[in-house]
Amino acid sequence: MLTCKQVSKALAESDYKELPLYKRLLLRFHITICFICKGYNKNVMRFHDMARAFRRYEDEKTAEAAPENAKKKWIQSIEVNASTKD
Amino acid sequence: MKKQKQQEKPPTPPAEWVELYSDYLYRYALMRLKDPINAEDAVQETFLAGIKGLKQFDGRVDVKYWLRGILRNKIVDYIRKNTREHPVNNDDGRDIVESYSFEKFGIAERSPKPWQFAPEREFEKGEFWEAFEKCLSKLSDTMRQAFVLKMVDGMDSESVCKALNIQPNNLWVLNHRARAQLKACLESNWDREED
Repeated sequence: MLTCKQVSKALAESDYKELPLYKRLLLRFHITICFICKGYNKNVMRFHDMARAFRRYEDEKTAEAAPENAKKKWIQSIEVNASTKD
Repeated sequence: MKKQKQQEKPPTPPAEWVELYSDYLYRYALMRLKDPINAEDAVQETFLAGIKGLKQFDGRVDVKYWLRGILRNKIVDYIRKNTREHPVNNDDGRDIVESYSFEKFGIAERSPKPWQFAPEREFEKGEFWEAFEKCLSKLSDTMRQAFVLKMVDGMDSESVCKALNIQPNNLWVLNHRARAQLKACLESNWDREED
């Protein structure tokens, strides 16, 4: 039997899928009978969903961010390095 | 991802990279490193490494994400260098694990407080993510990096611990605190909006 402390650590520390099967089953079992860990689990899973949705937002956002002078610097160094390549 | 047609497509030439990808890459680096100069350097190094490695580009992913992969390694290098120079206090927060409402036998005493609103209903709103980013930036560097590398970037715990120069137990504490602080910050900054 797992304690709540072990359950909450396991849930937070590693992704659920990384765990060996017997641990997942024990976790499942614990969560079905322990409403406190159920609440904790729900909160952790919420953050997993949030992180995933944030990743999508981050990938799709198009707003300008980089300072103009940095862009100029990058363009220059790309020109120099791309032309000396061949 | 559609892969059938894209394999044939030649990579975007480096001359277009700044225009197409630099805002994305810079934002990505800045959110993780916070220091604008480090972020700028990391992007610069990414472009140069990209030019060098362009022959190995196989078209399986978009150039944007290929460059992001290079950038992520650079970011981890910067973080690792920084945490070697200024190690995180490993004792910090150890007591939190002990005091986190566990009784003698490891049974939790209290359920975490429920959210004041359902965040998943806000995921489609850009403003929500702006608030989220603001809340992320309020976390300490180590806490933010622990959360972002593990949860957003999906790195495994061992690599995150190595990058941050911390013990697995600390990663747990950091992420536990990050979640609590993000939740509190989002609740006080977001619930004014009506649905």
